[in-house]
Amino acid sequence: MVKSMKKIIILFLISFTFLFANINKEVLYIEAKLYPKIFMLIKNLQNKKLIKVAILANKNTINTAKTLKNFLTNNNLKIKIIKNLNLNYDVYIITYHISNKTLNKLLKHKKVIFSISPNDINISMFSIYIGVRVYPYINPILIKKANLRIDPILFKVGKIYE
Amino acid sequence: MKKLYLIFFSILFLYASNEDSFLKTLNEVSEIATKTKLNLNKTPSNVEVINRDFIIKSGARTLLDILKYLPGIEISMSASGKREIVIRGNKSTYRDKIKFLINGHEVTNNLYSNQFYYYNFPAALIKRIEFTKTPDAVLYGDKAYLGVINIITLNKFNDNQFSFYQTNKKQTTLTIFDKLNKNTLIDAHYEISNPTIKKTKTYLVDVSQNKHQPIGIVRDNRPYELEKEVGFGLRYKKENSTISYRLQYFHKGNFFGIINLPPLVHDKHVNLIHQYLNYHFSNFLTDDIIESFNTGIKHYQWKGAFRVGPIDSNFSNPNSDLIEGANIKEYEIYARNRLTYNSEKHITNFILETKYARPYKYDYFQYVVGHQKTISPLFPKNIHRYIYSIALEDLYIIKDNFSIIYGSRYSHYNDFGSNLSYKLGSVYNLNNKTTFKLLFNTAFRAPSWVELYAKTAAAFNGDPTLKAEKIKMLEFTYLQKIFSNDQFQFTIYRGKSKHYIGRDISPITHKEIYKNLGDLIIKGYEISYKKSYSKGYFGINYSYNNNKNEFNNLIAKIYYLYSRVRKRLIKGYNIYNINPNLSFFSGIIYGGKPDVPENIKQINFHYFTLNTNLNYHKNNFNVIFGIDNLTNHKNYYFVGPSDIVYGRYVFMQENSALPLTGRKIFIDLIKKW
Repeated sequence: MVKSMKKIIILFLISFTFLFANINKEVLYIEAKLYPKIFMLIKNLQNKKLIKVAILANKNTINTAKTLKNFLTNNNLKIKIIKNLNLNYDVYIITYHISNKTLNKLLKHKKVIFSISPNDINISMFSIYIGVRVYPYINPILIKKANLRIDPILFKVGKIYE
Repeated sequence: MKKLYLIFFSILFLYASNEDSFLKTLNEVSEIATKTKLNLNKTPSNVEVINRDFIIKSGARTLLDILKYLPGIEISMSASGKREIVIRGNKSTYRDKIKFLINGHEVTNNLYSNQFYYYNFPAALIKRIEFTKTPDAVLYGDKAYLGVINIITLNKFNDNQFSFYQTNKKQTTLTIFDKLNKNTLIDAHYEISNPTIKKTKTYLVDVSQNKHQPIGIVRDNRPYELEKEVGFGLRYKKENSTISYRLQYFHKGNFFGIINLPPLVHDKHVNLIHQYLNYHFSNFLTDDIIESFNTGIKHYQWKGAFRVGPIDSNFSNPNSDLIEGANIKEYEIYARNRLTYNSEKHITNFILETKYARPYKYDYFQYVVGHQKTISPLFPKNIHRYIYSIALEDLYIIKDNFSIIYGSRYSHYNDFGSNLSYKLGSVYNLNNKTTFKLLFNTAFRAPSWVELYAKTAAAFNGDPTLKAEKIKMLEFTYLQKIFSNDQFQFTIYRGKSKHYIGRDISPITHKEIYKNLGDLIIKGYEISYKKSYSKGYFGINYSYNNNKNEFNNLIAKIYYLYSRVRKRLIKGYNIYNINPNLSFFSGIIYGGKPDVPENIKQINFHYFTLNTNLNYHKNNFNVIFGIDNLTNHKNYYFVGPSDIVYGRYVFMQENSALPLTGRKIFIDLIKKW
């Protein structure tokens, strides 16, 4: 009961945030500030001085991807916008709802997956949750599937997708 | 389940590097979400947000063109042609009793406590509007009496742009926004509006012994509605510091004269200049506590003249008009420090604020054309206002679906003593579709200097014994999702404004004076529904107000016989994206008949407008072509009589009707880079 209630509330809050705004630039800005900090808490990303990040976009989300790339200004990130999946990167930020085939391929190669929309948390490991405060939105099932090792602080402060 | 994962990962991968940086960032982004109102529906707040997409696609030229679509807002006009924002049926002469902010900086003056020089602020430069239609003195301090408007101008998230807006009613607007470098933003605008409005007859009415009968036509002239505006804004940000400067120059023609008299020859005008220079510093004291400090100076000048009325019985001779004018300058110095504590369960604001304001030039003059001016001080010497206040507001997140907010502000005024404002509210998400909000707010408004001290020949005479106005407001909101992408909202409110300050006639001097008239009951409700669909979104709203005055201390009853506001407003809009480059906007506004006297009930005072436009954008170029008031419906503002002059007469437009400009065709070009 508590679980289902929590899920309902999370979906409710997400839908209100994104119903009329879609992904606006402020949300992307918040993600651009927060996601690199989460990268630092992922043990599997061993070379923290150079993390290769791919923003996975299609024709509908290319402008969103470009905006996000502009906001991701950390020196230790090497960022590229890609339309066709390749496995040369450590982290993939998805800007649209990827297929199960793509997802499985990324999981198989233990890639870290972020989504810009919390509606895509079921096909990513991390997203953003805007409640009264901002929280990392975490999908533990996919984290476990890819055998990712992450700092427990994320579970302590994040919202868990169940 | 969560605990199991926690234990599992804790055992395997216990390390703490980067945690501090992460937690600090989490607080930073939470602050951004609060500032940009992303978390609006999860907090006990009644702020309404209008975003950039609507602002541009609605084809709006000015701020008021945007606000007119909000529930419970009526855009009206005073007898002197000054635009008014009527919030929930509260129309107040010369001041709308709201706090007006540009990027969080207050631009409401101390002289009149108004800000109408910003009402034509160009829509092209507005990124977002945050509108609170309820008192909130705890968070915003003085002047946040009936509500707060915060205009967020284009910022680093927006592209550079130039815009040109032209209507067939002799209205032109030019704007520019440019990010000069990564630290510096500038914006500038120029506007001119000089529409031709049809002639209107003005009658002289003798109100002595309650006769209220027109004596005859005084004037039959065309109003003079020239408005010019120049604005400039600069923001320079480096690390934690930001310096902001803004200048707003507003030139206004006499329109109907200050008391309903259309100009004859020697048209008069007023010039208003408002400026502020603000220094802002924001810093994380700890991972949980953000300090936000603002200090600055504001300057305001009102300079001009207006026709008061004939000084003898020859009402049709313009050369016998009494002209009044003034040159008034004021400055304000302020400092505000806010500490925000962010934790898992609390967001707490602790605010310390102080401000000092005084007029340093206050020449008042009057003359009859061809005769020498007499100059005297408008105010007594050495008036000033010093305020300090301390406020605490806490948002307590009890559960994911239940939060409460409470807070209080203690303010001390050198001229009005101490006051305590407080608030209490909650938000409860019953399930994924239903939310309830309950808010109780109080606020306090000290009279402006004009209301307290002004001494003039006719319309503006203060009373230093005035009591401050106080308001209490209870508001309940019910939010319901019917489908996955819609929102229904019902809000009901009831409040009381005590010691309402309005105009009356002095039984001794027979001049018009400001006075505490009694109490005003504010009550009504608003219903709105908005929905997004695959090709766009639409909204519709209905509002009703049934305010009642309990003024028991009134001599000039004619001023308040009629509320002059529209009780019922229906509004709707639809934005339909025909393809990724082309969208179609349609908007409709209907306003019910205001409360008018029996003898003019035959006049069609219903307000109706149907607005449409097509918006095409490609390669950073945007062109909007549209028509406002497509059906050319004859709209009028109902205005009551003028201020009483010489203790006996008022001027009234024929049928108390001020005509609007009719159908408007416009083109708006925006080039981004």
